[in-house]
Amino acid sequence: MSLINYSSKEITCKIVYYGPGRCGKTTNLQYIYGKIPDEKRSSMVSLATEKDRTLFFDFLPLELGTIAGYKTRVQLYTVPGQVFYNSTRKLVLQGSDGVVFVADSQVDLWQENQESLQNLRDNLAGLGMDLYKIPLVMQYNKRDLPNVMSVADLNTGLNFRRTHHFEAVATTGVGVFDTLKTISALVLQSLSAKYKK
Amino acid sequence: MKEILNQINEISGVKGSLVVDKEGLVVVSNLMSGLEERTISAMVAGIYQEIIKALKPAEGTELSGVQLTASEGSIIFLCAPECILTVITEPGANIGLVSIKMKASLERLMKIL
Amino acid sequence: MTNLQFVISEEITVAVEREMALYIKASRAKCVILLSKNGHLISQSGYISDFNLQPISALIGGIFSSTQALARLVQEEKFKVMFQEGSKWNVYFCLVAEHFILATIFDKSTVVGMIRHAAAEAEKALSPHLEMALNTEGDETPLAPLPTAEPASAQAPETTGMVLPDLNKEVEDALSKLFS
Repeated sequence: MSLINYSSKEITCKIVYYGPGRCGKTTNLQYIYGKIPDEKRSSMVSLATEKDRTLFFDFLPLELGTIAGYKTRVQLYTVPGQVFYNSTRKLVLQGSDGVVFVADSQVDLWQENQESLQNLRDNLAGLGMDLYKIPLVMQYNKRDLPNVMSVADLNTGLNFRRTHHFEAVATTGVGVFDTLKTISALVLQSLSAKYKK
Repeated sequence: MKEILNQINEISGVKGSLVVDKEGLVVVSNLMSGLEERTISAMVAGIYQEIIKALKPAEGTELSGVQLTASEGSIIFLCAPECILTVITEPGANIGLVSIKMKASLERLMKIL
Repeated sequence: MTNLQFVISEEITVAVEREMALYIKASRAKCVILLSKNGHLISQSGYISDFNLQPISALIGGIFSSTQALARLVQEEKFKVMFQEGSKWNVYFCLVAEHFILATIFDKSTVVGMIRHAAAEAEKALSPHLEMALNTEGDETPLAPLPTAEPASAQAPETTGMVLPDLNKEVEDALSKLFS
């Protein structure tokens, strides 16, 4: 649910990183937080368990700068990936303008990826949103590990929309900014198309 | 506690009474219709706070009570450590009698609270 | 549930800022923020420099949505108010116009009863203005774009003629600059 403040010329959008447990959602945000200049970011909030598993959400607001005269902000959220936190995932997903689906590329976690994608579709539907319409980017994380599926197979199995996809190693930052750049662009373009002159 | 407030309300000219905590939240109230307990409790606590601040220079002074008199009646409150007993009256009510009754009532209320 | 968006016009901003200033004065709070239920900061008033408002807004949004889920579990339609007490600072938040939260940060210079009373008054004052900011997808009358070459039609009221310039061209450049 984007916020357009026509008076102060500000746009704020919400992007949610979604995916199974331990796939790298939080790592994406932590990497971004570490790399963005101080003046473009605010504090990162992480509500996590003692073992650093996301309990409620991670939150990172970013200033993208002035785009076409509008001060533009994206607010990045992650959801808890563990299965039993589904009601929390739904709460965090409310009002999202775009989603990054982070898949764990390991062969052994194929089922978790599929279940998480189905869960995303169900939760969006429960909120009156459509996974076929919301701006979406796929990120295939952990490409550095042995025994990972091929990108072609991941695309066939997960990328039903044939949307942008990126290979990533979130711990080292590979693919992290490309993913963020693309989802930000998709969200803003979607907004621009909606309120076009 | 309501019974104690009922007895205060029986005095001619009393429009209602309530016990308010120092945060402005109602503990118990017995008000005639037309009186909004939340508004009164908020204002009483607000006034209490301001008076406490004003009394700071007179160190060691504890506020025991306040009487506000206006054309449409009076508001009287008596202060206890944990709460404030407040009574609203019409003009012409016997304030002396109300005050005596309030002191006795407050002692009884303190035993309960 | 349709997909809501908020479009804040100059008129709404002025009205909201005015009401929030009145609320701060009446309640003697230190700081008050208005946010969407999803945690987007919309407006703020008071001593804001002491607080990092963006994460505060996001957290309040999260907390509030949790309380609504809790409300449903105890067969309540919603919880409209929440109060958190600290040793120095307290936070009181309440639902406004169904989709917004008015969050008040206050210290010992005022009391929660006063905040609650003043917040109820502020809610009544803010609701009509905030309802104007809601824009639902699937409305029968979508926002009318302003024509580019001609002056705005006298029939198109300013508050509904919200448009954005074409962001496509500049998005890539801005993002590349940020992430380079």
